Amino acid sequence: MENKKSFNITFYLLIIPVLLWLIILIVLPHIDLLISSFQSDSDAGGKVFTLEHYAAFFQSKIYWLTFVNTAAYAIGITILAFIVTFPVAFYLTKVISKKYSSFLALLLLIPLWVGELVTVYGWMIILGDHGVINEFLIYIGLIDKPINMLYTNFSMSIGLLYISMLFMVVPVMSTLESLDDSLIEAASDLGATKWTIFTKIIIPYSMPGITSGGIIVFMLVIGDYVAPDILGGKSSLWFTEQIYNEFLSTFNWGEGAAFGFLLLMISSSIIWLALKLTGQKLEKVGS
Amino acid sequence: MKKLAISSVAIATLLAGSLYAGNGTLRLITWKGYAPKALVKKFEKETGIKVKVTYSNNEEMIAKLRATRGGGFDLAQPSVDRISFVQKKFHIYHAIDYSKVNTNQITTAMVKAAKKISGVDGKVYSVPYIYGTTGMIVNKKLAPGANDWSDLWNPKYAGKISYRLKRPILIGAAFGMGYNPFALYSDKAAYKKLIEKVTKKLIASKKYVKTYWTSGDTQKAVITSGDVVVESGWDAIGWQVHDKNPNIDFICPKSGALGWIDTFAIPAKSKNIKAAYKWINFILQPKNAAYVTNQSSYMTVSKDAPKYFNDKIKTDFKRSYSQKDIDNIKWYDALPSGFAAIEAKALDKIKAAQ
Amino acid sequence: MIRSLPNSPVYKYTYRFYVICFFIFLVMPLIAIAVLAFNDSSSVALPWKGFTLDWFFANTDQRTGLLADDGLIQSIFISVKTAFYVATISTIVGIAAALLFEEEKFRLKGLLYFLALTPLVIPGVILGISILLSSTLAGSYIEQKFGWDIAFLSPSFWLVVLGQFSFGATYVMLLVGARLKKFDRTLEEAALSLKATRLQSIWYVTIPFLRPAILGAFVVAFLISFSNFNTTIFLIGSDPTLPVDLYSRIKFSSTPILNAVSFLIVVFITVAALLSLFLNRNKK
Repeated sequence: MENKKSFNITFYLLIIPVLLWLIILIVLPHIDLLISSFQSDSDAGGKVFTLEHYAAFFQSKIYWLTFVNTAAYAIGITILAFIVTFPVAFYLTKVISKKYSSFLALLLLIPLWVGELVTVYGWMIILGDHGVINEFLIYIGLIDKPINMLYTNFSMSIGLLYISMLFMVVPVMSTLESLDDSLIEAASDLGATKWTIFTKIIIPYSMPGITSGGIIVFMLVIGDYVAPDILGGKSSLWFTEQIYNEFLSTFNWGEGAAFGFLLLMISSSIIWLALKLTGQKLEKVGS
Repeated sequence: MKKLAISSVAIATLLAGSLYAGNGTLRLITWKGYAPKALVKKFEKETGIKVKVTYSNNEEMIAKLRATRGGGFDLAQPSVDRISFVQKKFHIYHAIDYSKVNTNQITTAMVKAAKKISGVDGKVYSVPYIYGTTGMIVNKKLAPGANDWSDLWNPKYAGKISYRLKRPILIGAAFGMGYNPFALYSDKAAYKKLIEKVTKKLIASKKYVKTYWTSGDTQKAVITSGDVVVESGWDAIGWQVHDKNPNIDFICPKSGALGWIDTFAIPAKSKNIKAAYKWINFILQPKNAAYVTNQSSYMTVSKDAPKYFNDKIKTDFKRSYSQKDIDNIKWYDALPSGFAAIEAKALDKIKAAQ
Repeated sequence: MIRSLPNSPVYKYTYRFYVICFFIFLVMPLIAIAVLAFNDSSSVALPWKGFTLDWFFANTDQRTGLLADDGLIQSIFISVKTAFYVATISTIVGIAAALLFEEEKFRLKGLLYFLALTPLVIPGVILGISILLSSTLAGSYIEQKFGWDIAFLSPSFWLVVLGQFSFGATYVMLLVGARLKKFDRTLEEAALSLKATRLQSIWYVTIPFLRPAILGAFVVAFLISFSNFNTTIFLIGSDPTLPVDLYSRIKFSSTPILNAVSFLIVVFITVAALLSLFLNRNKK
């Protein structure tokens, strides 16, 4: 390196904006989140250390029940997203001719870019008492009273699945692309059944894609607010709804911060566990 | 191609910038129906001030102003009982300078009430605007006997009941159970106990509830469709529905309707206080105030507005309120600090229960 | 099982049927929105009452179409404006981050890279509340200490831009970084040996090579910002973006005007997607 000096200038030019971004918008806010979760307003107007926000969480059954419920749903929907989309990803990469597959793959991306609010609204129209499905079933005479679908756990799950599943398809497709067809052909020639090929070759090979897809899906579902709030029923309390309430309708920011921190903890630990179990690194998830 | 896309985005951005720039803007955060389009247009024409309306409700309005420390809006419209405890803790409002308010347009009793309830340390933080009651909206054909808060957990109407899971239902239910929650405003522990009792009641009867409505429009929709026959509701909404279906009407519950007053309050960092006062004085002019009432059925505090009311409002009012009902209205008093948290916990509990 | 292997017809058709069902599931909400945007009825529900363009153009007492609804038009503009700034800042910082992590060596690089990736796995809600908390803290501190009221430290347009940028930059970094991995470093070295400064070589050699990825990343950041709700909701002041506006309208009451605006978004995205497919095909 003969021009070491200018090299350094460039280095600082690159690192300063990146440091500003990461420190001001990622690190400091999360430290503040942690600190706020241990603070409450004293009567004198200052801040005092307290454990009451976490105590409130562990003492009231509804909070940790909602918490567990949300996590369980998120895991369930992640698995469901895998089951529903894997055959499609496989079909698009390995079965159908290349000519159609790029078109269909593009079709997959449209709901993703259209945005969650629009698609959730679409489901609201479809599932309502006077919605598309009910009106259709009444029209063909299958039922005479609308089936109650909207504002239930069912409609909420459909919405959550819909908004998140495409994040499973994309990474799975990109790993499947690189799977050499001849591997499957060879196994088939040697008399392996479809099931054997599926469990012994395809799944292990696409595991990196499934993991990164799963992590993104899980993160989106556990942190979602729109689908549970718009499509969920009178009892479907989602943990993020608690956080929104603390911040946007009651003004208990301390408790909201504590809940937020708990959510962050559970989502990171489940993601960490998933990475450990599959022997992957976070760096891979991004690609 | 992409260059074209980017430059068109840039142009659109510049356009957007010029659209809502300028000092002559009044950013109003209010309830639906409180700032009708026609009056906004009229005001803009008269004063040259552009009005930007954001719809909200009490909880959101206060949370938003707390987050911005009283910024972001030039004029807000919280209910009178939710002002003082917020002001004491967060200082998010400007005191009202009553010399700038045209008080002879307003009913004296309402000004007095606003001054008393929203007063903090000798300063007043609100001007009254609209009042009304929360009572019940009942389908008299399908639920002929329903006449009290307690009918919201009457098994007779199982699966056909609705209310909003917010503060008024806790208060209404307490009255329906024979208590007077307002009498306990001085005793936090006793109030907490009472709310716990109410919570238990509402959880036990949750299975009867069809859905929790969330806004004026949704409360209208559920009762109009026939899915619900008894619900808690606002007088104005009940009357709007009555026009379309005479079987449905607003009634005052036997144990008392809950009286509220919505007000004007000026956020601490309002950038256009002058425009805020202009709007207050403009919309309370008898003719304008009567227009609001005629449009939405919400009762204005404007003194001479009743002259311009249409007959429908007058008959609606008479039909729903006997003198006895009026005397029995339970007016909300200023909510002491710390009580909102008790109620919020209770509402969470009810929402989460199975 | 795959193209080159023979399959029983039952297997083949069941599989095809499943995939067709999946795509119906996929497009159903979009179709429902589109169809009901033209229904001549004030409620967003069937039955079909005839075709109308009212929800786009009407301006009467009973019906307000999209073009006559100032609030909605304004929130579209605000969204475009927000997305433009977010995409610009994210692109600049994202490129810097990609160059930094691909080409430089320094201490703590691993930790910094890990931090840069975290927005992928932090729920948007958490980013929203933590940025709200810290900006409020900083804002009140500055206000009490110096008496300055700094607008972007309380919920407002610029706080939204900052909040969305915090994760937008990660996506740009990954997209640009992926392209950078394919970059032939000898080109840069050649430029350096011709006495170009490091900055010059980046500007004249590396950036032109990255251009397609940069444009793509800009568009992605723009779209991510345009549709974001979870983070934005905590940071908005008096200027709602389109998703926030849509949300509060859905909560209050839905009219087909929401379908009209959703329909336009769907059309816009579809056309853009088809265009990109078409352009890519021509290149090959």
